[in-house]
Order: sequence, then C-alpha cells, then structure tokens
Amino acid sequence: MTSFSIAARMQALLLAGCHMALVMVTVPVWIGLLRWMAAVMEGERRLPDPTAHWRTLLHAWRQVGVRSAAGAQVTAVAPWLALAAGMVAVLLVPSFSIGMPGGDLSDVLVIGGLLEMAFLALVVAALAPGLARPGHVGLRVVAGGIMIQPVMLLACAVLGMCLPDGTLAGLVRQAHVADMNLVRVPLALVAGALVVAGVGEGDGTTSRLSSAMLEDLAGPDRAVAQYARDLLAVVWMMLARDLIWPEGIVEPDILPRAWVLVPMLAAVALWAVHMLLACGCVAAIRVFMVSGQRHAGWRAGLALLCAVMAGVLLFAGRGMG
Amino acid sequence: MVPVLRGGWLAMGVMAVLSCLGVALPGGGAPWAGFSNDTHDIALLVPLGIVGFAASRGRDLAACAGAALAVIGGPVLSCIGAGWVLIARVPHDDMPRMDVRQAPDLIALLLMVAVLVFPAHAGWLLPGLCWLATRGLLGLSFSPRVSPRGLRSFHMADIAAMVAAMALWGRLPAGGMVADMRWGGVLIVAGCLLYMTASWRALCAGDGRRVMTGLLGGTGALVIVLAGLGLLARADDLPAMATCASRTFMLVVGTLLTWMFMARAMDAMEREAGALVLCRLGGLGVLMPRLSALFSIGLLAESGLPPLLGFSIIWMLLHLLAAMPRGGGLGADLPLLLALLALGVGWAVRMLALVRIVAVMLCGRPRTPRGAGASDPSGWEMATLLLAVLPVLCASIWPGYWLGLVAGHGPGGMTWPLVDNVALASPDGAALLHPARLCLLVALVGGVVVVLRRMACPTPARQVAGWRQGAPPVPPWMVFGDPLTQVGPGNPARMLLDMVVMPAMRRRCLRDYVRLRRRMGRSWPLLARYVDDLRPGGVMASAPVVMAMACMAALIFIAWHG
Repeated sequence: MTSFSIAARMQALLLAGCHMALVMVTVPVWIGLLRWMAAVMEGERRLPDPTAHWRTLLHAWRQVGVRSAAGAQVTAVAPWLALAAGMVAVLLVPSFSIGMPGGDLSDVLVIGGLLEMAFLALVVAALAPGLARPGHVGLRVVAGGIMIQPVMLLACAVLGMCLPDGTLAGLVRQAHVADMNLVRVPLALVAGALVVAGVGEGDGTTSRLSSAMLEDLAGPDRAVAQYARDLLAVVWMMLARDLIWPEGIVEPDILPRAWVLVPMLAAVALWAVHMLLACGCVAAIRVFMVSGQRHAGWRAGLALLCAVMAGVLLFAGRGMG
Repeated sequence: MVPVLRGGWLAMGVMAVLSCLGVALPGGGAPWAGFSNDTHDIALLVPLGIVGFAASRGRDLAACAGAALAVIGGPVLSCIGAGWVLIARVPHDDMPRMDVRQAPDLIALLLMVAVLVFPAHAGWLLPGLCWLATRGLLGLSFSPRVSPRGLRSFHMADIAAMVAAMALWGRLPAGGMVADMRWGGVLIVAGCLLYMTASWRALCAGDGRRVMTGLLGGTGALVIVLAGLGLLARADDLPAMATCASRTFMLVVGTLLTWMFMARAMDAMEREAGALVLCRLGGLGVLMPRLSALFSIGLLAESGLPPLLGFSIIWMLLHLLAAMPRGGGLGADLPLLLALLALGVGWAVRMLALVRIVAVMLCGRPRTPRGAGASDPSGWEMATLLLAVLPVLCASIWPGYWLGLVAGHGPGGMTWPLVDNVALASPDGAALLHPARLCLLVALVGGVVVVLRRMACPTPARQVAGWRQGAPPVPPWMVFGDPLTQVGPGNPARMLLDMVVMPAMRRRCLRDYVRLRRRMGRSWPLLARYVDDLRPGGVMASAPVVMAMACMAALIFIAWHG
C-alpha cells in the first residue's frame, strides 16, 4: 500500500470522525430549534433555547432505568439498535465534505432503508411489553410512516436517471463539474417528498404519539430512544439538504495545503445555515400544510404526489430537451 | 422411508453444487431425449436439493420430485412435472374441491406443452399461457380477499412449486420482437399489481402460515416482473439488461433458502406453541428468544431492508426498471412511474405485514396457556435451524458468490469463485452495490454502539411487573392479562384503510355494494338454473383424472403432428 493511499484513508477516517461528531452533537439543537419554529408559527411568543432539548435528554439519561418486565429483553435492545442504524445512516449522508469511508454506499435506497430499520426498531420497543396504549400508538405510527417506501423507490429512480451512479457522493461530484439547473426542480421535489414522508417532528399529534410510545421506558433506554428518533428526523433533513444544495459540500483534496481548512469551515457554516432553513421548511410544512387529525393520510398522499411530480417533470424536461 | 428420501435429496443437492462448480461427476452426463441439458437448470437443483433435505412430510417430498422433473425435463416433461407439483400440494381433505381451482392451470399447462412443441403456430401466446399455468404454483392472484379456500397454508411444498414455476419461466423461447415487447410490458405491470395484492393478503391473513403464503406470493410476483423485464431486454436486444435480469432471477432463487428456513422455523414454532393462529399467539420473543432471533433474521431478509438479500433484490429490480427502454414522450414514461408506485405500495404493505407478525407473534404477552408453554427447541433441533439460516446469511453477505455458483462453469473453464464479482451492478454498470461492505459497516457501528452501551450504562435497568394505568384488576379467568387490549392481528389493515378512506365513507360504500349484490342476486338464480340444465347431475371430475386426460390428449396431439 502506498503512502498516498494510506494518507487518503487517514483523511477519510478523520473526515468521518469530524462529520459524526458534528452531526451527533447538533441533533438535539436542530430538533429544539424546529420545535421552537413550529411553536412560533402557531402563535406562541418565546425566545429560542437551543440547548433545552439537550438538557431534557440528559435529564432522562440520568434517571434510574426502569422498564416493563414483559418483553424486557426486546425493549433493552431495540432503542440501541435504532441508534446503531441511525448512526450508519449518518455516516452515509455527507454534511460538509464527501470522501468518507462508505461514500460509494450512499445510495438513497440504502440510507432510506437504514432509517426505516431504525424507525421500525423504535416501534418494536413500543410493541414489546404488550400493553394497550403504547402498542396501539406504535401501530398507528408505523401505519402512518410506512408510505415512505414508495416515495423512496420513486426518489431512487429519479436520482438514478439524473446521475450515473445514483449516490450522493456522485451527485456532489457532478454538481462541482456540471450545471445542475436542469434537474434542480425534480431533485427539490424529491427532497420535499422525502421530508414530508419521513419527518414526523414538529406536529402536536406526532409528538403526543411518540411520547405515548415511550411511556413504559425510563432512564438511559428512554433517552437513547428519544435521541434516535431525533436523529432520524435530522438525517432525513440532511438528505433533503444534500439533494437540493449539493454544491455546498466540498470535495477534499489529498494534497497538504495550509488553507485547506478554510473551505471546510465555510462548508460547515453553510451546512448550519442550510439546516436552519430546512428546520424552518419542515416546521412550515407541519404547521400550515399537513396538520390536524388526518395528517398521516395527507402526509403520505402529498409525499407520493411530490415524488410522482418529480418523475413527470424529469421526463417532460427530457422530452423537451 | 422419509429419512432415506431426504438423504437422497441431499446427495442430489451436493451433486448439483459440484456440477455447478465444474467438477466432472463420474460417468458424466448422459444426454437423454426429452431432458434439458442447460446448466441454468442444474442451478435450480441446488435450492431444490436443500429444500428436499429439509422437508419432513411425504407430500413435500413428492412435490420436490415433481419440481425436479420440471427442472431437468424438456418441454413436455417439465410441464408434466409442474402438473404433478400442482396435484401433490393439495391436502387430502381438500381433494374433492381441488379440481375446480386447479383445472384452469392444468389446461393451461396442456396448451403450453402443445405450443412449446410446435412454437411456429402460436408461439407468441407462450408468455400468457405460462402466466396462467404458473398462477397456482407461484400463488398469484389479483383478488385481495383472504379466505381459507384461496390462501393455502405455507409448507415446504410451496417452495418446490416455486422452483417448478421458475423452471417453466426460464424455458420460454423467443416469440418475436413485437409480441415479446407487448408481453414484457403486460407482465411488468401485472407483476407489480400482483405484488401489491399478495402483500395485502399477507396483511389480512389470520394465520401465521397464510401470512407466509401471501409473502411468498409477493416473491412469485417478482418472478413475473423479472420475466417481463427479460422479455423486454430480449426484444430490444439489450444483452446487459438481460444478464442483469437473469442475475436478479438467481437472487430470487437465493431467497428460496430463506423460505426454506422460515418453513423449518414455523414447524418448530407450531410444535411448541400450537396452531399458529394469530389471535392466540403472543410473546414468543420472550418465551423462545433464540428461535425468535433467528426468525427475525429471516423476516429481515424477506422485508427488503438493508443489508440482507431482500434489499439486494429490490435494489437490482429498481435499477432494472429504471434501465427499461423508454419510448419518447411523457405518455410512454408514465407507466414506469405507476409501476414503481404500485411496487412501492406493495413493498410498504409487505413491511406492515411483517411488522404485524412481529407485533402479534413475537412481541407482547402470551394470550393462551398453550402459547405460554412454548420454549426454545432442544439442542439438536436448534442446531439444524442454525445450519438452515447460515446459507441465507452467506448468500446475503456475498450474493456475488451465490450468483457465481448458480451461473455454472462456462465453456472456457471454471469461472468461480471470482473475487471481482462480489458486487452487484446495475444494467449499465455505473451503479454498484457492495452488500459485504454494507454488512461490515453495520457490524462496525453496531459494535461501537454495544461498547458505548456497556461503558455508559454499567447498572442494568430495573424491571417492574407493569402497572395497570387505572384499569380494573384482571379477572381470574383471564390469567395472561387482557388479550383484547394487546395489539391484535386486525389492527394494521384497518389503520391502513382508515388512512386511505374515511371510515364513514367506507361503511357507505360497503352498504351500497351489499345492496347492489342483493339486486344482482335476484337475477342470479335464473342463470344458475340454466347452467344446471346444461350439466345434469353436476358430476365433477377429480384432478388426477383431469391430469391423466390432459397427458393423454397431449400425447395424441404430439403423435398426430409428429
């Protein structure tokens, strides 16, 4: 193995470590800001407190661990399984730079499948004790969120037609060398569809459902389950952001240069701004478009419509071109 | 007798593997008239040998024998083998009613033999005939209704039936460009719809085995979609796409190993917990943790979530559909989008069916004393189950090796194993999927999380017996808690329907439908009387008689033309 490839691998590991640390630390911050934005849009007047959600999670972590004896073996494992699946998905979705290990696996279908697995693990944690309320709520949640799969298939097909290899790393590389304006609207529609179908955060009904799902857990397991749920929402938003603004992600250079950190820091700052925008968009969608009692059906229908429209626009654009 | 036959099937499987590896068997192959000499057919014997070795009932072994005939026979013998499987699968108590359901399949098989022997006359009809003939074998139906009559219990014989149907589909000759293109499109759309309805049947079935039959029907629908894609690729002369379709076909053959494991696991569960009626099961995840963990691996492999084999199939299928030759204009492209939509909805419903199985069978608390007595099977049986899950895991992690094995040896010598062949590629070769790398990534991050958990949570959580949340105390006759408050098998389907149509609207539509049927029913007796007049006595021929007559007619037809 040459020293060049060793340096490339070291750099990939370093980038992956920085990326994971950045995302994992900021997850509760984004969720706190999203909730604050949704509350402000619903008419509440208060100042944002970005660390409030972190404090809630830490408080839950420090509590004594208690779980229902029925299905205890399953509830002890399921939240951690969700966390692991979410972390793999985080590793595959670039935030400020590509070139991390596993970049060739960053297919939308792989990422979506991992997020779906984490989602189902959380639902299983609610179903395992066999109690009435968490179980029925878990089923309601899974029935409402299951329509992400057709959206994912359509999104992957649209992305496969726009790009040669269909991965996010390929999208970023292409965005640096080619004009993306032709496919920007279909990609934005796909991103919107994924966010509408995947993120259930920011809505009152969804929050009630998710708290009912976890009401038989306390202590570290509960904190991990809540964190994994927030992580899923943030990864969906990151995925949508990468589809809409792939130019904001830098391609790392192996050559040692002193000023290599400057574009990296700029990309991190850009990522933060874009995530703020994404939080605002999700809050607006939740408050103004898909709220109310029958939000699950509306969510699925709107997401499917967006995904089909993306395909139609792509085909129409090609036909005219 | 049964152990000897199982040993014979094992020997057959080993010989098939050796033959696929390019090892010359002593004596070599004798080219018999009426038998096929294709290496792809030999590959189908690998899962069939494993299924035959794992089968425990005489009926399953008989179905395996029929499937083997369908795999190694020529056009006539393979159709006879498929008919044999159709008859061998039917349980004894259901024999009198069988003829009505199997008659169209048998007639289609007969016609298929005739057209296969004389393809010049009606060769363009073959895909349609094959669809009709393999309808029962693959469990295909457009009907969303779940009835004990229409949805049979899942046994090892169903896997043999699927092998027989795959052999028939792999035997279609080229039928002309225009016909192949049209049939290809029809089969793709029909396959997506069949996938959706099979998933819905799996979601609504009230028995664990019938749920598995519905899920297996989904796999059968994928066979139809792949056959349609293969026809399209052949008609448009796209060799890369045809190769990719045949590789995906072989991955679907690999999922049969998963089904074999699931059948074994369900047998063990039935022995331990009684009949697998979903209303009476619950809490198996706690009662039999090791078997449930293995069963969950099988469910994950069937679900299409990464990183196991089902995901590789979905990935390949998606890239195949995206690489389909498309005519210009939006109108020509819209069917692709709609097919993808149907496939995706079917996938979502299938996932919900799997969640339902997990929620009702594995999670929760036991609902009956019979179910509460279940425990993990003993050492030897557990070891066999563990052995049964190993091929699934190997084929999931290294699907390239499985494909290399079943692709056989080329004329230039041995082509297996190839290390550069471990990735799955899309038809144009641009997109690559490395399942082994994905598994490694998942395992690494999983290990990190396990270490984190050990370090961060040194004290285990306290387990409490559960609190009643204000509910009245449990009555003494209900020893295992209230079975009605747990998640029931009917909930997910109703929730999905509620999401699509409001309950009030659904009730109104149902009432209108019942009223319409009543009005139609007034004119129905007249028609029934007319039909009875045509067929006095209502004598029904049994299926073996129909089969024998079909064979005789085929022989007469062949002799007449030959």
